[in-house]
Amino acid sequence: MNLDLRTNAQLQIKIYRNIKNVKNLKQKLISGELKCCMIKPSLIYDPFQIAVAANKALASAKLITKTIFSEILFNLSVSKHITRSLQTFGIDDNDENILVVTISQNGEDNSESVYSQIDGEEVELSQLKNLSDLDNIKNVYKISEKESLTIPLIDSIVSRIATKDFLSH
Amino acid sequence: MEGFELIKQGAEAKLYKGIYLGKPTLAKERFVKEYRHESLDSFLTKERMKAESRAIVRCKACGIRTPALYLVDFKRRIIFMEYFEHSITLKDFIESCSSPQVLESISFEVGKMLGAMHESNIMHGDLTSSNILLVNRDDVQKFDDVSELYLVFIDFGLAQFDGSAEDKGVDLYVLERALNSTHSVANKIFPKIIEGYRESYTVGCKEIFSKYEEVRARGRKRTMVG
Repeated sequence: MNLDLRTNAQLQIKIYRNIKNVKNLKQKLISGELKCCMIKPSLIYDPFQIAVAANKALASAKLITKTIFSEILFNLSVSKHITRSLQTFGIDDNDENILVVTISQNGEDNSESVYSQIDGEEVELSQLKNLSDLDNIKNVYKISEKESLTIPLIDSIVSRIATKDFLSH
Repeated sequence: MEGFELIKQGAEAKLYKGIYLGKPTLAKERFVKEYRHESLDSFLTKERMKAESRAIVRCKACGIRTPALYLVDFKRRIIFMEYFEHSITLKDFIESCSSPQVLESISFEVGKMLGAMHESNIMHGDLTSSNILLVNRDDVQKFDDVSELYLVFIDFGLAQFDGSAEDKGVDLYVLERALNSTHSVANKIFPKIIEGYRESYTVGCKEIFSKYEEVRARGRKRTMVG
C-alpha cells in the first residue's frame, strides 16, 4: 500500500501463525537487527489501522520513539506512555501469531530478509478477522457501547490514532 | 497537492478531494493569512485544527457520525479526512424532497442528533443545511429512500466546547436563521428539529430555550455597552 506521496514509502503487511522462534525474533527487534515492526494481531481490526499509524509516523517531522518501527507501535496506541504502548501492541515471548510490517522507501526494500528469519507459516491477510479480539480492541481504544452502536469501528480507531498527540482519549 | 483536485475555496480553507491511503479523502488546507503576524497565524491555525478534530472525535463518542480522521498535519496545515462520495447535502435534499412526512422525519432526526451533541457540550458553531450530509449506506448515488440514509455532520471549523446555555442557544439561532434564508419550507422544518432536540436533550434544555428566545430577540451578538 502506498503511503502519503511525500513520504515516497510503501507498506507491506503479512500475518504469520504458529511461530516457533518468537523469543529470538523479539531479541533481534530490540537489537535493531530486524528492520520491521511486529504487532499483536489481536489488537488490529483492519490493516488500514496500521496504515494510518505508519503514515503518521512517516509524515511527522520528528519521532518520539527511537525508530520508525517503534513509532508505529506507539502511534497505534492512544496512550502517551511509550513503554506501555510498545508493550500493549508489541509481541510477547508467548505470542504465536504475529503481524509483520515492513516499509520500503525510495525503492529500497529489505522485507525479504525479515521474512526469511521467521519460523512460522504465512497466512492470508484476510485471516486477520479471525485473530482480532473486538472486545479487547474497544477496551484499548476506549470505545463505548454507545459509540460502537452507530460508528464503524475502523472510523473510531483511526480518528483516535490521528489525534493521539493532542487529544487525551 | 499532488493527486488532489480543488473542489472548494472558502474564507478559511481550501478543500481538495483525492485518494489517500487508498480511501476517498477530503483534504482541508487552512492557508496562510498574509495579513496576520506569522506566529499568530500558525498558532490560530493550529488551535482551530485541534478544535475541529476534537469536535469530530467527541461527536463519534456520543454516537454522531462525522468524517473519520486520517492525518492531522499541523506543518502542512492540512486535515485529511473521510470523503463521502455518495452523499447529498441536507440543503439539496430539502429542496428536492416533495414529501412533507419525509422532511419532518429527517428534521426530527437532525434535532435528536443536535440535542445529543449539545448534551455532550459540543457546539458546532456553523450549523447550516449545507453542513449536514445524507449518505447512502450501500455506497450508491440514491437518496429517495430515507431508510437507506444516515446523517453526517461536517465542517466543525468553528466548534466550541464551553457548553454554556447561551452558546447552545446561539447555535440553534444560527441554524434557524440559516434555514430561513435558504428554504421556503423552513417553518415546517425548524419546529421538528426543536422537537427532536427536546427528546434527546432532556435535562437542562429549558434554560437553553429561554436563552434562545433571548438571542432571537436581540440577535447573535451580545450588546457590549456598559
